[in-house]
Amino acid sequence: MFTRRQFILGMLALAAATQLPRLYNFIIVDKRLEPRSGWIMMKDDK
Amino acid sequence: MIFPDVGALNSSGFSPKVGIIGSGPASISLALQLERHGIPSVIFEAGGYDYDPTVQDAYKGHVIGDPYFDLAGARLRYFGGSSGHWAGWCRPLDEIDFEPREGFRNSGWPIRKKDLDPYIKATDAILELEPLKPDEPVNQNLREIFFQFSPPVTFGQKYRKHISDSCTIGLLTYSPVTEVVPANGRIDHLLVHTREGSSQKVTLPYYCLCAGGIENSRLLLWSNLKHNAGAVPYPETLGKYWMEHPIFGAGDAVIFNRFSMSTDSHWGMKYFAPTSTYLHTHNMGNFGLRLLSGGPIKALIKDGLCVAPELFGKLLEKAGRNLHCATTLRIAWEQLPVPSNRIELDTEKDKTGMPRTKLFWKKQPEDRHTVETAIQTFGTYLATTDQGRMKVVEWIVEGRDYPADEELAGFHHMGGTRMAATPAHGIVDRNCKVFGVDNLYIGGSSVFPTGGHTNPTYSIVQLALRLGDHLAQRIVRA
Repeated sequence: MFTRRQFILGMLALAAATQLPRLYNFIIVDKRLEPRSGWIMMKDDK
Repeated sequence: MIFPDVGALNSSGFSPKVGIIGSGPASISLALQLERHGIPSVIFEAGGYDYDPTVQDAYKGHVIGDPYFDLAGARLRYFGGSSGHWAGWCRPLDEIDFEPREGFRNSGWPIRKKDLDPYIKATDAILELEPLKPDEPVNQNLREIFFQFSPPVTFGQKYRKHISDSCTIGLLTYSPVTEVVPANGRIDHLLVHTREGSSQKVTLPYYCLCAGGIENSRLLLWSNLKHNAGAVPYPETLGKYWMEHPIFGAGDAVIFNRFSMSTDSHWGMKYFAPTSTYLHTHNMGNFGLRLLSGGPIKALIKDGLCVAPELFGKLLEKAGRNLHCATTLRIAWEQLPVPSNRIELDTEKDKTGMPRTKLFWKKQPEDRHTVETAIQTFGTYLATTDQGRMKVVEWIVEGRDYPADEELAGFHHMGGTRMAATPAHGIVDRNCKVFGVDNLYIGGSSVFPTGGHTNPTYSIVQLALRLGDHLAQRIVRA
């Protein structure tokens, strides 16, 4: 029914979809900033 | 004046105008204010002068919803009430806490901060407080705020002798009021449960419930059930809109200049709250951020090395020189008042025959919005001003449920008999009088329609003093 490639891509898409609410939850409004592993960082922080 | 029982009160010749149910900060502050006006009152305390497990048993109840404390231990049932175990944190409500806010449902008091401000000096004196330091603006979103700290005053200890010696304040211990009995739009009498297990009547011109943020609702729900809704003729909101201050750890931050983190001398904390402009535009509850200095600075910097090696690498080099610091961030916030958070009567009864409490309490999506927005705002402030960087706790970042092994809340019971402009929206009017009942008043945080973020004791005392003035004027006029 599915090729091995389709199955793996499907599983990856499913995993991403289930993570989506979590990622969406931590959008930072200020354009100068970005989230990095829970840290609120300036985009140009190196 | 101490009376051993109702019989002794009724045969004493002492004619109190106001019966006050409960003996916590609201009750004693009210009695003191009435005394200043020369109005005699009598306090009915359910317990004695110390903790008694057989009396405390009446506070056992069930909580349905979010993890919460054992209700039996959340309040104290003896003279002085829950001031017997409070920590002394004080701060009046903010001006915006009284205002209706678009985007924060069911908000708005029928009074304003200016109505309570005249009682600041007297409240400071009762709670033994230094004057409150004014807020300091931080930016358009945040301000630094301060708290006042009571020693803390335990009302039972501070006022026992005063009340015992007073000619205008009477006190009965081991006298739980189990019913307020209505007749013809008034409360006709109270029923007091005796130690022998019987009930005795007490008839007075005015009554004031100051039994606590759960007990006020419990007593009125029970009285209404027994007396065909006569105690509270407009019971639509009775027991509802109950609130707490949820309190959780929200993150850790590296502060680049530890000297910018000067903290208060009492708890070693620094406090931030939103500006009113910010609250009006963000559709959220008020909040208080508490920054506690200290913590594993090196571990935090090492974690930061994974996300910004250059920035945190420089910090790591300086970490041993004590130039920067770690801070733990905790947040207490204003819960959205909703009718589904409520007190109901259980089928099980306590030893006096009153149904126990069933408390429904669940944080709402709007509460989550408040905490997440608050944390982002503070993290943004730290980063954009280059004062530090904040790491948000995982349960927020990952969108998980609130952790159950946390501080949870402040033991602040608010709502249930909320103050409103009309009986459709609350139980008491702007003078704390029950709608539709001529001589029944309510004191304490159960009248709060919204709770702000600050500890409620200060506002409870202010409201009680104001209620004392109102009752005195009314009694003198009559």
